[in-house]
Amino acid sequence: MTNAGIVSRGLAALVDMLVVLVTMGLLYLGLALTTLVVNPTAFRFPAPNLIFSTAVTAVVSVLYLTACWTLSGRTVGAILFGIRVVGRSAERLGVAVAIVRAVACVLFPIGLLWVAFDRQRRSIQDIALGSRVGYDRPSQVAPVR
Amino acid sequence: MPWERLPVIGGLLYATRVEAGRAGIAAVTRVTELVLDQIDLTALVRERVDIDAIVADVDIDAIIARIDLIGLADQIIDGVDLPAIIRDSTGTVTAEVMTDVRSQTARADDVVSGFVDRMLGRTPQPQEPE
Repeated sequence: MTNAGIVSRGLAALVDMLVVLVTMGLLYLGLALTTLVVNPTAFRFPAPNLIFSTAVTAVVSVLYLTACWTLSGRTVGAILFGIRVVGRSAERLGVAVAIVRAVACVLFPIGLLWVAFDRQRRSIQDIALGSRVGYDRPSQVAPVR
Repeated sequence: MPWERLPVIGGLLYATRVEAGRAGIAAVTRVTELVLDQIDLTALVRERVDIDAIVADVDIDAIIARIDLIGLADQIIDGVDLPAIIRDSTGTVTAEVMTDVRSQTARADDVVSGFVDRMLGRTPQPQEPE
């Protein structure tokens, strides 16, 4: 499996960010609707503070990335750009490694830029945790539906 | 016929008349068939009959009113598996678009790697084969 470069991984990360943002939007909508149902007379759109929103976004991102990497090694962005996160010997990431990698990616996203300079196209997180991101092309054989 | 009531020969006369009638009809039929075989009726009708005038008189609305159009349409739609056609075509299009996007980004990855390698003065390292 050839390691994927900065363009594929960067675009996949952008798509994943979009997924997290949409999820956050849905969560906010759910919160607003719950507030409306519980207390319809004094309803106001909830205005969570910045720290709270940032913390929830970080938690949602970590949960999303961990779940995707442990279940299939592919997030939505990874599926779109045909890449896959695997362990050192191309196995799926374990939960612990996936959580640490997700936290590292969320807190230190700039580490992805190292992919462009590393000869083996590894990010800082990949170097630290021994993971790798390779091209995953089963769709060339089976049509995507 | 009165003479068929005659004694002795009456019956014979009757039988002869019936037989002659049959033979006559058979002969006329045969002759007519022979004549018709020699004539190109279709050409004759085309030449002699004003088909447009006949068709103009036909009440097409009445004919259509007698046809169960909805039932007919249902039968046709049942015969054509439209969802499968849509599924197949969109599936193929999606697969092609996805393959295109993936190969383009993979190419862009290689371009960036090559550029960085040149910038840092490294010899480009070939990636392991897939």
